[in-house]
Amino acid sequence: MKFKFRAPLATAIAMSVGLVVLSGYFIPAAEPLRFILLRVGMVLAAVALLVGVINLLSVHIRKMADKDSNSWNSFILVVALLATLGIGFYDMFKAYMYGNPNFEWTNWIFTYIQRPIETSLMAVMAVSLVYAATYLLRRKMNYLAIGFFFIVLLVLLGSISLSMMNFPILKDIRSWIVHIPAVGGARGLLLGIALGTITTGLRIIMGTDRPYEG
Amino acid sequence: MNLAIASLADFVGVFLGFILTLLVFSYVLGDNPLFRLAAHIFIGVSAGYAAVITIYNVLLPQLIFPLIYGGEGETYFSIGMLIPSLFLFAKVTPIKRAGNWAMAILVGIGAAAAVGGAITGTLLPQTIGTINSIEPSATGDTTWANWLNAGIIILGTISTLIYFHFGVRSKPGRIPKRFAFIEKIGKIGQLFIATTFGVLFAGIYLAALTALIERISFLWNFIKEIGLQLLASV
Repeated sequence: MKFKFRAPLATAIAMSVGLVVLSGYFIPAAEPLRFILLRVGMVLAAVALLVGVINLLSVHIRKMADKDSNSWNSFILVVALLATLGIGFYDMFKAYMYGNPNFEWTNWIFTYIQRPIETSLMAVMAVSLVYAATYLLRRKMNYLAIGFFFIVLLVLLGSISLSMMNFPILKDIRSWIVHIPAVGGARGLLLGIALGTITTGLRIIMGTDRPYEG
Repeated sequence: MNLAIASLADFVGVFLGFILTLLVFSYVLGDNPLFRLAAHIFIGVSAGYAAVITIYNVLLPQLIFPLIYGGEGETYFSIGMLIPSLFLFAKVTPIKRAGNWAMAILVGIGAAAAVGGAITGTLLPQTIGTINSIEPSATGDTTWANWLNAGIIILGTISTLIYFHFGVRSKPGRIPKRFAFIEKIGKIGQLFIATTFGVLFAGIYLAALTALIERISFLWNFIKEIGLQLLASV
């Protein structure tokens, strides 16, 4: 069997760094080293985010040259991104030069552009969820789907408080569902996710998975 | 709720918010160019905002300022961080293999932090929480109802975990199948998973409903306070 070991240096770096950070969680003497490496990781993650933003920008600048209907949207995206960055740099300049770190215009963008869109997307989800729920019931009517919607209905009825519809028993049933069976299921799911995370993480630290080569 | 307009910038902002809300709400009629326009504005603004926050809160205080104004040790440490950071930029250039080392550091640290966080932040606390639910001294309640509830929580936790056990023993000439008792406990686990997702669905739906009420209230106030005045002036 031929075995080709790809990216040996990168694998060695990932394994050694990972082992040092992991040991810092359980060996007190290695804790300062863990904090230093976590700081390095934080800076690298921040730079990776910037690389991602630059990549997004370059992809949409290329798309702007296309003669299809999406090129206009790409232009809007590039303008929105550059404007936000420009205003952000202006606010940063003001913060450091004049000691005025209130980020007035960046906050304006957040309050009047980002937040309305985010809240509206969330609001549209109220409609989408009802549509998805009816779609699920039409496509797959089994005991689990019926049980799922029965629970949803009970929790919703127990959560709303209307003067003409005040049934304390519904609140008690909701409280019991949320605090007992849902906690059992959620614990199982959380433990499963944690076990999956540990397995995947250990595979990377042991060099079995190498998502950095490429 | 009043719109609290104190300046021209506030007025322009509220007007923009009104237009953007309508653009996003047009999605109710199906995917359309107006919704896509709002989505692209949102992606652009979010990416720019994330970049600004990252630069101001992480890169300037952790990398750039220590490099310029820090002591000798801090400067060397910052240079040590700057080199792999520059390598990361190589990922979007033709020499992207140079970025693999920096990526390896990031992945190694991330994997170890995820493993450590999963053990200390989820695995141990959730296991202790499950054990405590049947420990009378932890709750102080020894009634039969408490025992029953604790039993349900433990049954839910174990059966949900077992539902995700897909290990099978294959025999020649037979379709691989899970053990019968795992299959049966898995069915109970499915009920608990449906209950948990039902509760999550209801929670998300209530949050979405709250957002919908807030947006409709905003649109109504805008039309009442500004829209009618604008119409009257025209």
